[in-house]
Amino acid sequence: MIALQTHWSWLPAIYLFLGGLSGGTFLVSSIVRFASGDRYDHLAKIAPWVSFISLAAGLLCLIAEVEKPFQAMMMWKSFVNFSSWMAIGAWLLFVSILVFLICALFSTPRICTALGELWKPFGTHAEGIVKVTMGIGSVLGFFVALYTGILLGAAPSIPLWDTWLIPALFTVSAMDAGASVTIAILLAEKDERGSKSHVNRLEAALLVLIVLEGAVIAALLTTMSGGTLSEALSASIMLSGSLAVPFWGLVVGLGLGIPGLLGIVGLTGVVKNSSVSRALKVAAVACALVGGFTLRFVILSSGIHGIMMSPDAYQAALGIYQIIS
Amino acid sequence: MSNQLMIFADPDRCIKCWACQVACKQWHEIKAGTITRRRVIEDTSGTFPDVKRVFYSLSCMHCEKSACMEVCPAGAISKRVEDGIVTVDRDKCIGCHYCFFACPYGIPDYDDGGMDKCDMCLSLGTDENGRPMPHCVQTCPTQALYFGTKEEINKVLDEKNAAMVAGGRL
Repeated sequence: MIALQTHWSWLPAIYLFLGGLSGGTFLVSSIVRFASGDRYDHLAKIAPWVSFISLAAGLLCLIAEVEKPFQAMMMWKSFVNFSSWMAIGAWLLFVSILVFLICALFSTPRICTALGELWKPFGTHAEGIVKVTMGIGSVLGFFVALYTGILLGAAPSIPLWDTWLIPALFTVSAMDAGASVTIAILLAEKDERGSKSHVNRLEAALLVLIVLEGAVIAALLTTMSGGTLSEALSASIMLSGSLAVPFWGLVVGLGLGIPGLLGIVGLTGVVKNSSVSRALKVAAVACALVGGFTLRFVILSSGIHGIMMSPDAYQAALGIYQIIS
Repeated sequence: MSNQLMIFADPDRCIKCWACQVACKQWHEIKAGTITRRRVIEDTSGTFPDVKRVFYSLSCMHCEKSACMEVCPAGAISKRVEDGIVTVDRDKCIGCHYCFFACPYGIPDYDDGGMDKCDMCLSLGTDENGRPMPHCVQTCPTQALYFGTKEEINKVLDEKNAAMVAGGRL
């Protein structure tokens, strides 16, 4: 039985998930807001706040996870080595949080009005500020999602993470989560007839994302299973080892299968009862989010050093004998 | 780096007595059940009656291109120019564990003060030539740990090879 990786466990998994959720939600909701002329009240008011709160919570999880949280909070001292992706990512997250917050503040009518009373130009340029922050925030959101995977990929000694497929997977998963959250918010819109068309389009996009995510997961595990012994052993932890149940049940079944199925049901309009249809959509969103979090957790927990479980890296250590001579 | 110091663990001589591990903990006053700077690992292969057990005393390799140094966000890890020893400034370290994932051997260990690892006993002082005196090397009963520069260790290994060829000791 291979011992799981426990240095980065629950808290980092939550941090990576929230980072992806935040970036994905901001990007997808901003696309819908631009495409719809920002006519959806709930989307404008809720989506940026979801992004801001989840990213702030994620950053708090990151800080809580380290041995010296208070020292980590002094970012100008603790994240200074920019050859490290963790330092780059910390500042990227910090800037993103600010942009998401500004967008959220100016997208909330009451707060926007109050800011306008505080300083007139805020009121005059509110719409422009929202558009600019949505644009910048969308780019930042994409890179936040990508970064959560690059952080793992930049740790060179974990065979499972040493592939571009990890950043690709985390980015697609983030977009998946973002599309799911955006659908959930649109379902609450008063302008039902209008929002329905965007919900349908998003559901179609979500189906594509689900298929893409499944394909990337399959590519990752196939590549790993056919790679070195260390890579194959890492992949086997998820496929048939101690994490097989969470992987197949929660990541694949609950995270991809059920949302995919319910998405097809939703798009074909088989369920006529609108409350049941709505409930099924919400259930699909919940399943997608559970699956997304579990994906990060299993990828983290399966990230074992080669030397700790297989002879190939260990032999490399013994092989220093030959290298020195 | 020609003056790079190394501690080379010879698997031919190691008997997995753990003296190196214990000496390290005693000299650095490390509390039992906390961190470990040096650990003896075993690779078992084959099936009875042809079982082979190989032991290796694993610790920081003070790598030429230290992955841990590159990934540390706080810049707490550095490699000394004079002897290549990789050290960690625990005051700067925030304990994010990223170096653990960068190290090919999973060496970094952590406590409340941050990351901890072998420093070749540099913190315990140096000899008259400015060299540290690693206690694991001094303690090993089978002299399985060799300490010195690359040239010095190569010389020892050459002598050992010659002795083996002549049918002598390992």
